[in-house]
Amino acid sequence: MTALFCVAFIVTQLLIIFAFLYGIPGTSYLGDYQQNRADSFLRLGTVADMKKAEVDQWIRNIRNDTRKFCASGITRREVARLLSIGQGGQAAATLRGNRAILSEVSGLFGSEHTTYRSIRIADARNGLIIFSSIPSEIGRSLDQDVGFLRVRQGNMPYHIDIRKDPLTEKANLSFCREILAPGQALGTTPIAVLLAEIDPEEMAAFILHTGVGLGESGEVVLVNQDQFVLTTLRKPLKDGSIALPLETRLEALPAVNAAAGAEGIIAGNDYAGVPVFAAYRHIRLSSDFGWGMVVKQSQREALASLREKMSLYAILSTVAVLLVLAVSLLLARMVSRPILRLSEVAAAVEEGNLSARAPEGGGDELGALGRTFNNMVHRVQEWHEELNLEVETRTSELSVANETLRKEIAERQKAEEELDRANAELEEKNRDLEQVVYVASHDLRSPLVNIIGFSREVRRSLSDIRAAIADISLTEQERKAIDAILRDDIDPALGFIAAGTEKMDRLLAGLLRLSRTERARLEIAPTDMDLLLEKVLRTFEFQIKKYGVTVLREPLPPCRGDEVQLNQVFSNLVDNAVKYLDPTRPGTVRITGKVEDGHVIYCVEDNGIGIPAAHQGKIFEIFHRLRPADSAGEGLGLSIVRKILYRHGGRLWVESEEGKGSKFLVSLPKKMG
Amino acid sequence: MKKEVILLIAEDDEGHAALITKNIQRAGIHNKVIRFADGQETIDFLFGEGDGPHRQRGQSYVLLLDIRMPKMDGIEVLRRIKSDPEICKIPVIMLTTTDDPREIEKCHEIGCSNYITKPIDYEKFVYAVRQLGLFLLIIEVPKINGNA
Repeated sequence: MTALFCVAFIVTQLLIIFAFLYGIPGTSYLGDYQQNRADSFLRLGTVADMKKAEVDQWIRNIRNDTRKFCASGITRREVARLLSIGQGGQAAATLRGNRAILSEVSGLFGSEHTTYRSIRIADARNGLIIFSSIPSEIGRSLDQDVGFLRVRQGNMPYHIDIRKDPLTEKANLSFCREILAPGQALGTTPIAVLLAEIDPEEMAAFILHTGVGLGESGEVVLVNQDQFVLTTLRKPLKDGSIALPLETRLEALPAVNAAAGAEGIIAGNDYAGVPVFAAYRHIRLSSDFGWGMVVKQSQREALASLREKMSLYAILSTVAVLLVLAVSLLLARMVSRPILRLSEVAAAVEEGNLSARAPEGGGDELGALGRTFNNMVHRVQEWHEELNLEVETRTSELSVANETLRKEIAERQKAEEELDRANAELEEKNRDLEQVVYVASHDLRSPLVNIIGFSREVRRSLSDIRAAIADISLTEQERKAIDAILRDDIDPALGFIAAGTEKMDRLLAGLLRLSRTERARLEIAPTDMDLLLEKVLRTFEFQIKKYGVTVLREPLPPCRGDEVQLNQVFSNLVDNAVKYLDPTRPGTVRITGKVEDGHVIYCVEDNGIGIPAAHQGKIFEIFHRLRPADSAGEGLGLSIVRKILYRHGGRLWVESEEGKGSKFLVSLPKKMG
Repeated sequence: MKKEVILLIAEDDEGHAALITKNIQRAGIHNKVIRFADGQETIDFLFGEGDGPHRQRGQSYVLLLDIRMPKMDGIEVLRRIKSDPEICKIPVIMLTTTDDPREIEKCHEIGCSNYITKPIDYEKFVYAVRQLGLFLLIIEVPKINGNA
């Protein structure tokens, strides 16, 4: 954390220094480096311009001096006279004594601007010196001198250059100027050429003086058109050699630019390979000839103040970073140690040590934090204890409740077992009962077969007896008595036997049917009740027509059930409805159905005699008959219907009012399990 | 039915047996009748077991078999008969007081030849027995071989 902070701080510092040096991007602030560079450039430019002006002025002075000399009538006349006298030593001798020229020459030497090394006048035709301030030179030839040759042609009135003097072998600044004969027109070939020789160091003396403005490394370098150095250099070249005027060619860019005629300021390396700021200027000497001048200062010196500032910044930054580090460490000691301690305590609390406490020292935020934390842990501890207590209480309560529950479950299980046992017993009893009914109905029929069969046989025998009696002779009284026995006693007796047995048979058949209903397998399937009722009603067509019954049948919802048994149910209900109609009014039977709460409820309603409230509970009892005298049947119909519906998971009940009619309602589940 | 065919009647109720015999005779069938009072007697006779009378080799029989009988009921008797490769050839006509369709089905499954319900309605009963008589007149009764 501290390290990160330090890195961030250092980066920020560096950014600030960078901004100081190179400016802030996107703003007009250019920074100290740019500022210093611009200052340096300005200084260099100013010095260069000044130096150039000085050189120009200096050359102009020479030009003026020489022009004055050459244009002077005395000079022209005397030179023309000298040339006409003749050549060689004679002429020289003559010249020596020529006070007129000497006075003019002395005018040159007396110039307040320049110190001339020598003054020469050469014959334009052959280059022979006809006059010189150094008398030994008279008679010698200058026909190899570049300046002489250029001026002699008459194209330009003068020529100035620093070159190696062909006579003295020294580097001389040589100013050559044409001398015309008296009255000769300008632009024509001169008769003689003046060569004024100047020590280049004289020029260098003021040129090279750069003053305090450019510091210790400030230097002015002058090169000719071919980049050869014209003045002595203050430093050795890159390779360590000492530069010699007119022998050493400079390759440094400012010198090259200046020699080529360009002017400007650049940052680059100088001849010694040192990084410099350099202003370069071209000093035009003639239309196609000039010098290059470089005014330069080492960047190191030019930016010295900047470097000092940078050093200062660096020191300040270092100090600041160290200070920040120290403060951070101090803060860390002050802040993080209690926080660490607090976090340790928190970890301990988290692991379950609720008695751990943080140090509460100090009145600052950390102290407050510690106290708050401790309060919190204290509360948690209290809660924890309360919770434990609560849990214990609840646990004991729960175990009591569990025990109670366990007992209850055991009791319930016991009760269920008992119920199961009772159910099993009931089922067995039911089975027994069914078996009893079945066997009874079956076995009771056997003797009936005999009773009926043999009573028929008896009747048959009776007619045999009658036939036999008819054949035998009997008294009228005897015959009457026998007839009376046969007709009045045996016949009715046989009749009663027959009626009784038939009734017995019907009852047994009913019982058998009931028992069979109980044992029949159910074939549950979706049943179209409209179709079913249609079938049922068709079987009652005869009775319906016979009694003129109006049957109203609404569309019925379908249900699921055993079609055969449902047919039996509705056959029974319709049969009852038709059977118990009131003969005193037109009979109506209405069959409706509706869906209600997952059940389908069908209703068979009649406007018949109705059922007295007292009887309504009994009509479903086995062998119960509403009006035994008035109707046929065994009184088993509704028992069977109810049994069938019970097996379907349905229900049968009645709503009836005596004298008005009855409603038999059948409920069946919409869906069977 | 050929004269030599013996009519076996397994019927615990003496009256029923008498009524059946009487009506069969009235229908014109006067074959010899042997009556058994229960299922066990019937089995003993057919399989040659016990002390009572046993069937004879090469004799043809027709059995009228009541279902509800003491000791062994008619269905068990039928099952035993039909599980013997020789005795199973005897035509068996079931007699019962019930018209329970399941019982009828059961008997047909085991292999009875016909089934007659004993109706309480005497006329119907007579009619049924007469029909049985006609039936017995036309059926071809195989001789039963094998050891009794």
